[in-house]
Amino acid sequence: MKLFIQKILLLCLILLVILCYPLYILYKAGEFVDPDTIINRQRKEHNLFHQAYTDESGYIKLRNVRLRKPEVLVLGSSRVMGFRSFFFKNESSFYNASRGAQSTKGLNDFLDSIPDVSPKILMVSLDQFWFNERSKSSAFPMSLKRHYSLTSTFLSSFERVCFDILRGKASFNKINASNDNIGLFAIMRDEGFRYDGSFKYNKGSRQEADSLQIFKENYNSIEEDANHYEHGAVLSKEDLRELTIFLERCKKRNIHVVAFLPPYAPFIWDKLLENKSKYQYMFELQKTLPVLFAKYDHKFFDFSDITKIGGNNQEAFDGLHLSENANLRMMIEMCKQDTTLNGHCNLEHLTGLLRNADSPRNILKDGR
Amino acid sequence: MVFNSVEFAVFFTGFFLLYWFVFNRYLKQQNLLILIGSYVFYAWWDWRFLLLLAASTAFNYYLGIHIKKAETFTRRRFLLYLGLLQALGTLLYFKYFNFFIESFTRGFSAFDLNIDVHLVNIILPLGISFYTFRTVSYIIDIYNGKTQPTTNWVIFFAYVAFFPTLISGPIDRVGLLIPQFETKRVFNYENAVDGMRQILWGFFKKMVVANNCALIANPVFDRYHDLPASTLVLGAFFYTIQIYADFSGYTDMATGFSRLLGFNITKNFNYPFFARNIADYWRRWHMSLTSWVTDYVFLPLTIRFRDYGKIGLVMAIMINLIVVGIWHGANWTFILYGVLHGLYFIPLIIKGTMNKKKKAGIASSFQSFSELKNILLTFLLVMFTNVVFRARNITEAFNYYMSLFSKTIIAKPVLATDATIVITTIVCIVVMLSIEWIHREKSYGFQIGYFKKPVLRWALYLVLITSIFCFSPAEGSQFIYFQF
Repeated sequence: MKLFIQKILLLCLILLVILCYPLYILYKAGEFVDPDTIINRQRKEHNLFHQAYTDESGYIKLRNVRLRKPEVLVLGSSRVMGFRSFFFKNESSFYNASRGAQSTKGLNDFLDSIPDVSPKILMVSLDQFWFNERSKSSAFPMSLKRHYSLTSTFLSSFERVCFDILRGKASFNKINASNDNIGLFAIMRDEGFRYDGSFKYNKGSRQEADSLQIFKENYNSIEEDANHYEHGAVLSKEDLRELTIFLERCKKRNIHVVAFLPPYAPFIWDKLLENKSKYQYMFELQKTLPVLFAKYDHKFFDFSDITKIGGNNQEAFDGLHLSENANLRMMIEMCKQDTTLNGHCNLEHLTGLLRNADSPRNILKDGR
Repeated sequence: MVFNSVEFAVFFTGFFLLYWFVFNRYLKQQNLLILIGSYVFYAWWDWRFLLLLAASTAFNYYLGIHIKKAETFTRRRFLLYLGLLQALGTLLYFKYFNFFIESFTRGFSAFDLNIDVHLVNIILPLGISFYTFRTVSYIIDIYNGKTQPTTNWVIFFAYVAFFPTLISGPIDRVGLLIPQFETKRVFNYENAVDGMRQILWGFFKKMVVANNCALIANPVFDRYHDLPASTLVLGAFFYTIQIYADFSGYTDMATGFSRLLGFNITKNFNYPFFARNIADYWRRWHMSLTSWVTDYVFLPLTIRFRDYGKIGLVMAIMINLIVVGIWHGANWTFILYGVLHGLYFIPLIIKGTMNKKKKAGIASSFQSFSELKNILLTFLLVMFTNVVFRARNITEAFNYYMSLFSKTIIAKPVLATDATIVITTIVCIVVMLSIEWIHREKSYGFQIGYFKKPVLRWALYLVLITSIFCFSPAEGSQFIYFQF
């Protein structure tokens, strides 16, 4: 028995030696922090979180909505992560639950998950491809449940952190020096979800828009009929039905919906226009949705072409994701046309923010 | 609590130390610790079903004693039927109730008789099929005079709930396990080390091979209607490997943990993918269930059908395999699974080669080309049938089969899974099957105790452990057979 225990301990020791460095990196970077602790720490420290190997953002967003009960809520995919709390008069009354819904069904699921929360205004981004009959399967659902387990986090992270250490993507010094941000990406890239639910992109880690190289992948997808750019002629009836149910339910719960089609980078939008015959559903959508929203007395905007409100390629991170400046442009436009939303904002303040923006991708200096 | 979790690692370490260092003096204390540990292990999932387990065990404990004590044959038979009624009744309620109701409703609706019946939302207690079969064999064996009832309740309760085998078997028989509970366990170094090796092998099979196969097979089965037939073949292949690595991996772990506690449990797998025909396959796959069904269903049936010659044998095998199929769950797919396997037996019965046992690879390589051909053919049959096992319903299975037989069989396969994962998985499958082929005469695939140089053994342990850390996906930690 003694020999057996000794050998087991020896094996554990060898393993510990092999594992300790990646384990330390994972631990120190906050990759093992469970989602509820993230919520509590963000509330106190207002830091960024962005874990590299696990994604509990759906759960964290939902939990935050339940806890904070915001008056103005943004819901949608990663394309609306740039709506910030300082767009509103009362910053604490706002929360950005972007990535909380990745499909029309996701909207209803989210609403089901917040039976006790009825925001006064729900700003909803409706990704165009949600309504493509052909691309339904490509939209991955965002889980709102808590999946965290130490074992699975460890297993999913171990191999990748080893590679990331070798590639220099996880630096000991940087991680060791950091004591506020949670998650490897948040520390290494200074990029992640803020306390208000918006996402801070790090300019340095993203390619500049000038070269148009950043749109290459999206452009290829148009050519290849793939990755959210699937060609399609027919609008998905199922998704229109889901959306109708969602609007009805919001009406019943006295939630004012301000919805919009989110913008594409102008370069990509031009390509979509060139291929108009392949994306008939998208242009059909622009005609169908205003009628549907009018029926329920909710507001609808079409920002597919951001140039119409002054946006440009400089404000894009890629074909689908635009900066907070572009989000601010949309906000200003919506405030101008919707009195309810306007009541929560100061239009002059917003235009001032846009005018004095630090860069095309950041409103405040260093993306604060 | 699953074996491949941090919770279980903590639980088992504590349990092991208590078992050998604190409660090692008295057998009764050790057995009591096993019972308590097993109940904690089970309650971790849902404590409410612990009551069902305890009640079922207590009922069968007293029933066993009373069957033995019964003075008349009629009373003995009455008590046996009572036990069977309780066991099968519990199974029927928890596992098959909604299935029967649904099937009857559909049956009536075919004749335009619409019956409005509400289905009950029933949660299937974990491991119910396994522990019920254990208690049923106990009372039948007592009734047949093959075994004596135990009068030590701690031993019986610990036997039924023995945590390494509680959730997914093997279905240990009374004759094997209860004598081990009655004998003082002495720590055996060689046995414990071999147990650790078997656990490690089980972890590799489950966490690396099975979980990665799941990443490839699941998207194929989810979107089979959009995919070419060549991809569907790959889906069926990876699922077949997945289910083997998953279940046999679990069994390896269960066997290893039992050996660390000084128990030798029933062997459940004997390299089924090296079987030469379907009868050989069933002698190697889920052996504890097959032997259970053989003893309590097949043999009585063959006696009953003995006057019908080969037709009687076909009938007995068919019923036998349908029972095996429906044991897995309340779904017509499992019945069809049994029927298909039953049909594969017919050529063997006609040729009279069903019981011709060929040991897997007595020579160092294949004895003949035809042997390799037989192994591949058997694998293909199993793979083909596993489609129906995996399908959610008969329609899905039928559609999958229809899609398989199309011109797209020669098209380039389209896998949604990342190419790196696919390559890693294929390499790991080759490694697993090669190691098992080399050790096919040993009791499990990684029995490398015969390696004389410890450095070599330790290097292999570290390679295996590192591969578990590096190649295990986070998803798919649940075992497939937990649902049965």
